[in-house]
Amino acid sequence: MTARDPAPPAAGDPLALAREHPEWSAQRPFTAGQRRLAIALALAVLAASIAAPWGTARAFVWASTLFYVAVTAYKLALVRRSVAGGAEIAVTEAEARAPADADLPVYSVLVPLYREPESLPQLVDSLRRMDYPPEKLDVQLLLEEDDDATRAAAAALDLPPSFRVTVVPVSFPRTKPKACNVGLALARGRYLTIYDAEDQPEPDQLRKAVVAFGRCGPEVACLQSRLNFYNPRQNWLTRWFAAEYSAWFDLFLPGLSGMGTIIPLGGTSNHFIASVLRELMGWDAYNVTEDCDLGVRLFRRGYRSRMLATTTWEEACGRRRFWIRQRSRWVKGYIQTYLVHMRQPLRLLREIGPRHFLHFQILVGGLVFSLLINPLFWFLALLWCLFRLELLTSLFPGLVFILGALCLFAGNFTFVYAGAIGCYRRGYFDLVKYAVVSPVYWLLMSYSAWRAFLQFFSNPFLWEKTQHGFHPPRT
Amino acid sequence: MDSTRREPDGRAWMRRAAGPLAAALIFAGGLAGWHRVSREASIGEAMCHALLDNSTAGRQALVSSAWWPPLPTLARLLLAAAMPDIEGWPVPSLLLGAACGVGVVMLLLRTLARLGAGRIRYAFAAALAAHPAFVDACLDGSNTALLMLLAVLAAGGLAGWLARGGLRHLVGFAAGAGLIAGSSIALWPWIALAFALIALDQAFDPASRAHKEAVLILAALPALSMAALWCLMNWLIMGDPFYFLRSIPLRAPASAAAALGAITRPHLAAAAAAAAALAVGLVRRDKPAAAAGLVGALPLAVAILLADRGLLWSPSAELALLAPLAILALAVLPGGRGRGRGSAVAAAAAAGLALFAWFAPGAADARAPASDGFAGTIGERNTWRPRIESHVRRQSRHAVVFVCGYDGFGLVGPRGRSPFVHALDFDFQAAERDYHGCALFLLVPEPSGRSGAESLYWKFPGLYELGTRNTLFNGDWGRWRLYEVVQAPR
Repeated sequence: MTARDPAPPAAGDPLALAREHPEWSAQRPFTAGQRRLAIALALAVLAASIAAPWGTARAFVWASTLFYVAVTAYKLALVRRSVAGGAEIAVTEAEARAPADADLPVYSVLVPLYREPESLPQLVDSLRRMDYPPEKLDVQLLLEEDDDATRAAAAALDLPPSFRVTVVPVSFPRTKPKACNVGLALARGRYLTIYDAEDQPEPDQLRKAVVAFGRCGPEVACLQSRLNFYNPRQNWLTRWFAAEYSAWFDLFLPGLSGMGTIIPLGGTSNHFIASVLRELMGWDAYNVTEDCDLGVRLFRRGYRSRMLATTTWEEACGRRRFWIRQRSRWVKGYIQTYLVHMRQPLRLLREIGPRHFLHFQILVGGLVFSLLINPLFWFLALLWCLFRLELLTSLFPGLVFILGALCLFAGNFTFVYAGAIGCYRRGYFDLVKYAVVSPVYWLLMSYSAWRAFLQFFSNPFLWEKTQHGFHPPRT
Repeated sequence: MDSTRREPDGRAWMRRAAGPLAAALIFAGGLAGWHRVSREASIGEAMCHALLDNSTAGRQALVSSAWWPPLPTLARLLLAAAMPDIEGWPVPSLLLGAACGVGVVMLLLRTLARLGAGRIRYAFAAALAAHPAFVDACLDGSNTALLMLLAVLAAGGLAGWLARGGLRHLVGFAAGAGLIAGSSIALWPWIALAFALIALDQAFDPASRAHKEAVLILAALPALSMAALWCLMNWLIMGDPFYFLRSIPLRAPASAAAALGAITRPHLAAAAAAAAALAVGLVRRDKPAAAAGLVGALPLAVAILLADRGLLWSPSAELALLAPLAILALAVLPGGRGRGRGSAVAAAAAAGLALFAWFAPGAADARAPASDGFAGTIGERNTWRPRIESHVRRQSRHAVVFVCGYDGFGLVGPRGRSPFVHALDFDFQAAERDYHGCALFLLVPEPSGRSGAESLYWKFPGLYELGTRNTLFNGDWGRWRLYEVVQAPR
């Protein structure tokens, strides 16, 4: 490692990706081709439903059952790969402290904020505690131009020299990725990461990232840290949320990392090589899960992401109303990401190969599809259990019935068990039993998914900001 | 450390190809020795096809008997769905047996590598592969190979957890135990004992209460869920959540002495080897070795219990497990040291077990006679089915023969061809109602071996010997007895 760091670039266009490469941006929710295909499919299904309703229903059940089998097998494979070990990059504390301060590169940290004056003191405190030479830190607090309260709070704080406020001009779209693009253009560091207002990263996270990048080849452009919550026991919702995050970041994402495939990045604590990020023109300002989209774009350009064994603690949203909004935004973003990257499916297939193409289908498209159709199949299963309707038996003939039953029981058990394993791995031993009853939580997820699906058509760029600050910060 | 995968080189490809190649060889061996294929395999196949046909009998057969557990059938099902039904030929069963056989060896190697065994682990694997119980399990298409795989997974996970902790081992144990719960009712005590060992270990662990609770939940959840699911399916399909368990209190007519005869010297030697591992483990306070020895010897106790109730029949999966579990216990005994005299002695003992099993007097007695296997099933079908059919047709043009029990799948095949109808849960009133106007017959198998545990015999005790007040004896056909159902005139 050398101390040579890139000169800060000139201010850039935060919407450059959408302007110069609209095919990569969710600015247009649908292409004309996708619209035509969707209409044609809808008409075909309608015609088939009229001409042969039972046949159409059975075909749908068949396709869905095969889909569930694929997802169950996929999740089992991920868990197995993750539990086998060696799927993350682990840096010990001693290794993290090994490089001398003078040898460390400048590290840029972007913190987008909007109407969060109460979070500022804790945030600044967390970043101050980062074990990184202050003169090598480049922290930008990205504040919206019309956010007077947060700007006043920032002005009132005694910010360290490595901190600065970057004002993001008011313009459409009003999204976090747009703000991050403004910050990216002004970042000075060789490496760059993002934190949210309530984030509390482990103090040596930046050092670990530097060491990890040093070990990896040039194709590794991103390291994703694990995320978890400092308030997992606040209520039932946060317990389930913590179980879900534990499974996702401690089990499934490491499994993906171990398989060397696409990692749908988390919203914060992704560590990038800044030059690669600029090469990719930053984040898509129109995508409400810009992180997931970026993870796919990185992979398409031949770069790779890996999991880094370090944690950033966040506040779990423990209020149902805000939780639903947050989850709806995530699902809507996944819909956007899927449609963007499937604009030219053959090109995607050529670029990433059949194996990773399948990963993408299940990871991104499959996640949305399963959340949408789950309630239907739960309802059918409940009907059959209670009333044993022969009508339902005819919908699920022979092998379909067996596979469907396997997915219902074995598949759902896999997800429950993965949540329990995730809690154990995270050290949340008391939450393991809550993970066992997480199917109730899945109902909330499906409700949010349907809300997202409808919002995608009515207001695709709406960013429903998650309210935080209902729990004292971690000490 | 970069976890990027390297491109596979030639050796890696050879390693990957070795498993499928070995499985293909075993499968070919199974086909060539088709006369050794078990009756269980052919009945299992027929059940698969009945399930694929969406028949009530198929669904009932899947869940309604503790002695025909659902998971082995489901394991065959996907293979059966992908292949044409070659009249009675248990090709999927042979494929499954071959795949599981290779899986057992590979799993043993991997488990021992994780426990720190060096190259000596290949000697243990070779001893296992050479053991006649293992060879038979791979070739006879029965559930035994699958059970061996699951038992090694569970026992290996147990030993690994007790030796090193680690989520991987705990999940391995839990997965194996969960799948065993759906594959053998006789091994439920075995699962319970293994779980009790984990609980005992946790009781003396200084970790927090929450941690212990989490460990026990992770260890027990799959098995408990499987048992609960089996009950749920019985409730949904049979109308009684404990239907499948009701045959357990039955005492089959076969004498205990005859059933005990299935336990031969090689079985006793394997149990003794496991018990020796237990003793040495206790003396040395070596938890993994003691645990592996205890669970290695337990199948013998299970077998004796079953034999006492006349519920032990050849080939016995429970007895066959003694060999791989004993070899695993011996391999764990040296305590993870890959080299040294302890490992060599244990490997020699494992090899000795295999040799002894081949050449011990009476070893071959443990095998079921060919007449009781697949060949016998086909022979029965070709001999008795047409005779029974012509007999009942002579008595009535509208005859319906209810073929009772799982053996009926072997006699008639998966699809009940007229006049035969499969009846896993025979009910006189339902039969008269559904087949009003037909002459009804009941065909029941002789209650010997597994046939003695049919639901027929706990619903209608003494049916084979004495009939019921609704039935009249109508003839014997090999081991099948035909009764005419007496119906009230309408």
